[in-house]
Amino acid sequence: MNGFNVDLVKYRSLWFGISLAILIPGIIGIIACCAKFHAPLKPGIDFTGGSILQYQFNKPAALDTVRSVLDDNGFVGSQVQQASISGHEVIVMRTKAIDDEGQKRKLDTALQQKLGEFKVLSVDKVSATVGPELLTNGLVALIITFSMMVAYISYRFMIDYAVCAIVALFHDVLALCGIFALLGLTVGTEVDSLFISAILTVIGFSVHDTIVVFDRIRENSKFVGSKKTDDTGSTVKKTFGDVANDSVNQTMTRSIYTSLTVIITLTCLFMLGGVTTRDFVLAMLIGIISGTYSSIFNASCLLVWWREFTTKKRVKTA
Amino acid sequence: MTSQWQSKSKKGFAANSFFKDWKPWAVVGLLAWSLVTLLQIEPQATIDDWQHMSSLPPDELNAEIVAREQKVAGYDKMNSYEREDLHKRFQDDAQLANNIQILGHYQKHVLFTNLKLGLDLRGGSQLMLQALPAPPQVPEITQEVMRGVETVINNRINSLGVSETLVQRSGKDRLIVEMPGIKDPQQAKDRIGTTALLEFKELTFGPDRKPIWKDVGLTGADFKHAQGSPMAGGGLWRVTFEFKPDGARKFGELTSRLVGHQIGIFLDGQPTDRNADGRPMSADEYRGVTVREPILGGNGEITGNFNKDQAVDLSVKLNAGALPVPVRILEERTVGATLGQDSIQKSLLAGAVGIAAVMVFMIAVYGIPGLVADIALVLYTLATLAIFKALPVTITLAGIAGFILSIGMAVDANILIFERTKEEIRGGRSLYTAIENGFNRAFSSIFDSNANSLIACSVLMLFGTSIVKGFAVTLAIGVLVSMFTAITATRSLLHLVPRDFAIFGKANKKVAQSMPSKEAV
Repeated sequence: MNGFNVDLVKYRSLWFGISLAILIPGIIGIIACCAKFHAPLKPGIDFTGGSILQYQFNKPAALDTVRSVLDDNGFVGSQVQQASISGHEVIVMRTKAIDDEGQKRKLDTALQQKLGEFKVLSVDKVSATVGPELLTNGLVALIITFSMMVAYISYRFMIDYAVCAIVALFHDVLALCGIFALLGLTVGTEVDSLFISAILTVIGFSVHDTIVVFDRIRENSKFVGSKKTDDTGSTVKKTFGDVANDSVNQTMTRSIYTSLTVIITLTCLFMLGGVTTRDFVLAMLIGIISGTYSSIFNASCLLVWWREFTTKKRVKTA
Repeated sequence: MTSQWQSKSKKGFAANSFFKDWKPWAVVGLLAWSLVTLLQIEPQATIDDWQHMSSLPPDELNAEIVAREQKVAGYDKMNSYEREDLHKRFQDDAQLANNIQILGHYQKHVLFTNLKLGLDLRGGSQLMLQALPAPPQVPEITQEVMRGVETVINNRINSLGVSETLVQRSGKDRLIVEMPGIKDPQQAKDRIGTTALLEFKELTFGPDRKPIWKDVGLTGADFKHAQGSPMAGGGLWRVTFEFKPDGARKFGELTSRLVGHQIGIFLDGQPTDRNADGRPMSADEYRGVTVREPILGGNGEITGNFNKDQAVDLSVKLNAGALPVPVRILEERTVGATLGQDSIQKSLLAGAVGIAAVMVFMIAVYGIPGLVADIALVLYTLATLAIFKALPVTITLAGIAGFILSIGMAVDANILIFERTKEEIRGGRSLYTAIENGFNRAFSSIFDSNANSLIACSVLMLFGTSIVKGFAVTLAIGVLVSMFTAITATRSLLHLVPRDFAIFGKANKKVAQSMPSKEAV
């Protein structure tokens, strides 16, 4: 896989086009989600409040019976679904947050009378007040992380590197959120607090990836202005774009290999891991693929663009 | 491995000078420490015994431990401190069985480790409680109030007899209660969630002959002790109580004043008397008990059609004390043991297959250097897990994600180094120089990208919620260890590869000729 030679700068509009082709449906999905769920993604109980009970009945349980038991006990409008965990049928009940423990106990007794013994696989309850807090905390953490990263990259590199890295990062987060918004609309995938961890993972990975490319550009930038032979055979000076191009091609193998190793582990987790983490792993997979793409194509293209723009401006003002 | 090593090795035995460098020592030391920390081995019988002890209900376990203590040689001569220590050791053993991961069996011995697993992996219940202000007495939740709430909740949880419970304050008005491996979370919630404020009230009648219950300033806080006990005949239970001296005096005065009148006993605002269906009687129907004569002894009883469970439950709550303010359960996460078991088994399998696949990939792409990276990866995995165990870090699903990401970063360091080395070789350097240059030049990328990850982690540790924190801690540890192993292990091992192997597509002929002694390595 040695010696990539992709002309990055020349096909700039293609790379940005591919990104837009992913981002625009995602943004439409996010808007549609806002209209339908009043949130950019279909929120799970972690954000809206509510209870999820997962029970495994010894005898097969009819969903209608479960529903009627829920209705009789004051949980009208609850969702009841069947799922499979490790080959066992599991009844998943989504209700409003059960605040009164007496009510829960009554429900359990009623279910036991109607449908026989069951094993409690999991009970999650989140009251409606916690959700917004979780979101604010998450956002505060994200914003502080972003600004610290900008500060660090500006210190080690330059401010334009930092801004481009963060834009590439936004791209990845947006791509991930967009795809999950679409999944929420079509198959009802909900986001929970683990999703915040997934976003964080993607951020970590994306910046990590981008920095490796930028590190190479920084190292090679001493070659800007050195001589090279162009397509027509005449000798011209190397532009920043040429150097960025070389750097991306030099680091391409590494970017692809590294992403492949992470994708391999995640795919294993996705195929073999527990049900509880499936959406979480899917989110990381999407984000990491996007992160690799954006650090190879978008981040450095943006940087070149920025440099060309500022150089032109300088020329004009001079 | 620097160039000094090269010059020294010319003079003498290569392995000798090899160990003059600190890096190989660090590798060997880290490996040894990791293995010693991680792995434990005990005879099968011991493990079976622990498991038996952990399966006992709390009362029986205590009895069992006491019985065993008697048999310990020299028990009679021990002072109380030593006895307590011994008791705790037995208890720890019983708890250990709940939380060990068996790795293998060998000749009636069991090889195991005990990483601390989060509730989402091993099963259990986590509750987040919020203390609510109760004006006019407690208009806002202060530190003082929270301390009171914490003590009461702690007492109540301890009465459940579940081991390893944890009550932790979080923020201004919250408590996080963790109960790993709890069998009946519903019982725990019933016991924790109620205020258990027991009040004595005096019956008066309003102008429209409606009953009005009036406070008399005597509550469950005036009790010294309460106990559930069966009543003669009928299978009903009662709660007998004893007042503290002050309460006894107040109760004496009250009953002297109210001879022939009614006194009611209310728990959290509802009469303690039960209807036939077990629910508290409505306050309109309740008439309390008539005081026949002054009660001066400071003892009394509450009878209210209790069954055994209700009476025991009430007495436990009274002894643990009433909460100064009501609490509510903001959040509950209960994972049944089955689901936890399922998650941990599948995660382990997926993790193992994932790491194996990455190892195969590295060998397929890089050949012998890939194998070296794999060995470094094994060292990395062991060292990280050993640090998780030693600190200890509680491993949750989010934590596993952080760990997997850090594996990705650890492999990345190797890939960066190898790619750089290959470039150096293409540029015509000798293998030795290429490896050294590869390391040095790749290091700035590795350092910057990892420093950036560490910045993110530290912010998340400070500001994140518990899930996010778990993730950040494992990732940070992973990143630090991966930098260390990339610098030490991969580098030392690469130089150990015998020189006639063609690594990175280049046999190290030049160096091999100039330094024949290196063959010995």
